Amino acid sequence: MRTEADDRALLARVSRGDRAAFDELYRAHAGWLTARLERRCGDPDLVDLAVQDTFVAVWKSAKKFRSQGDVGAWLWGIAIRRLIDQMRKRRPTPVEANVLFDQVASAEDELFVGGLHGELGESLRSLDPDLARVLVATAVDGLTTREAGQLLGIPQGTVKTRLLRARREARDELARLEGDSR
Amino acid sequence: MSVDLDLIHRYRRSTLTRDELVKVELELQRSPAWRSALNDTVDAHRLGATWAAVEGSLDAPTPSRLERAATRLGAPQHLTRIMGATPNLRRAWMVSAVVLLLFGLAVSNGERETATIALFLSIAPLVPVFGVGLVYGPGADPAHEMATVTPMGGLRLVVLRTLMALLTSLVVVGIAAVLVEERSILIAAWLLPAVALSAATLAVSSFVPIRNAAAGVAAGWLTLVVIWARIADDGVAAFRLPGQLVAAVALAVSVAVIAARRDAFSRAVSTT
Repeated sequence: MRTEADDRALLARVSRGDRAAFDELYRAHAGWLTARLERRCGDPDLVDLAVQDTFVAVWKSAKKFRSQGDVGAWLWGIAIRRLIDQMRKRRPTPVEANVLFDQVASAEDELFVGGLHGELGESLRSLDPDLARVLVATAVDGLTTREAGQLLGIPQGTVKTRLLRARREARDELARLEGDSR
Repeated sequence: MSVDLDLIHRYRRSTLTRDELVKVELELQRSPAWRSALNDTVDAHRLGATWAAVEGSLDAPTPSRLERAATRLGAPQHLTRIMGATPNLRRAWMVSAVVLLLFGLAVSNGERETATIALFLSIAPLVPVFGVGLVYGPGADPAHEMATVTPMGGLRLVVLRTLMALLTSLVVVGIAAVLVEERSILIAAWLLPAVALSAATLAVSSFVPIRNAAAGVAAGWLTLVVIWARIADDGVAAFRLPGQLVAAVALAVSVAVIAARRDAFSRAVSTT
């Protein structure tokens, strides 16, 4: 199976203009990038365009990759921003079509599956979908509040407000848990 | 942690609970194994189409700086591409134009003022003529054969490129004009002859190969200037009002000839 070291070696070859390595990098990553972008945009054509832009950008700027980082995370950072660019150009999807979290039935919301990690999982569990979306866009996708607003089709100010609300609710929840344990 | 393929498949079908979705997202953010599992679920045909598009844009020529600037100014892209598809001699032509003008200025330095300005005025209108004659035509343009048979070929192409040569020449000569010491209205007197000579070159090129046309027009021009100067005993005689009128008439005649023989351009330019 492929390792992060493989990817770094591959990217180094790509930065020297190796088309075969570029082909291999594409086959290793284009699929999951496509699938993951589809959870953020309902229009498959825009997703394909974003993936296309991503790899064109990678071919041109493979040199800029820091040699110690995670290639997959780096690719994702480019891909999500290319998707935002595409959505800004053609803005075809209303907010409702953002797929992330939309499919979750409210009954299922209450289900606790377990295996969530860290603070993010804790805070997301009890949050309403709007807050959760904003948290994923900023904390998981690593977007700025401005980019998150563009992705979700809401103003930057709304992103900030929701982040504050999410943080406050997480804190209240934490305080409640602490109070219970006393 | 090992990959939960059931979660992956439900991720694809959008049937995860929110908690599951968050879990998968977090795994995808850091785990090559999860990415790899998800990677395998995407239709190879679809990815192949995207790959073809990627390769297509990598192989597409990058527009030159000139081209991009022109496009930004609002010129249609198919025009900028044709004007920017630079025949390999253009740089050489620009350099020789500059050298020619500097040379003209250098020799005449210290001479009588009229001599300076006469030399400058005689040479300046020839710059676009050389530009048109030397740069565009068989032997200079690697895509020449192709250019003559495209819908953009023939007269439209030749005129576009002439305008291009004329414009760049005007800039070069304009800069040189500022360098000439003489401050007189005469300093702008080369403009109309320059345009007229370029048009004449085009007109003549509907009969003979464009290089011969350029050479002929240049020779005719210099002869005219010298003879006129001798007869009138005035170095810049050809640039005064009667001269400008002659240039205007020559321009009108040339344009008429070009219009009348417009069909010749798809052939004439391609014969050597």
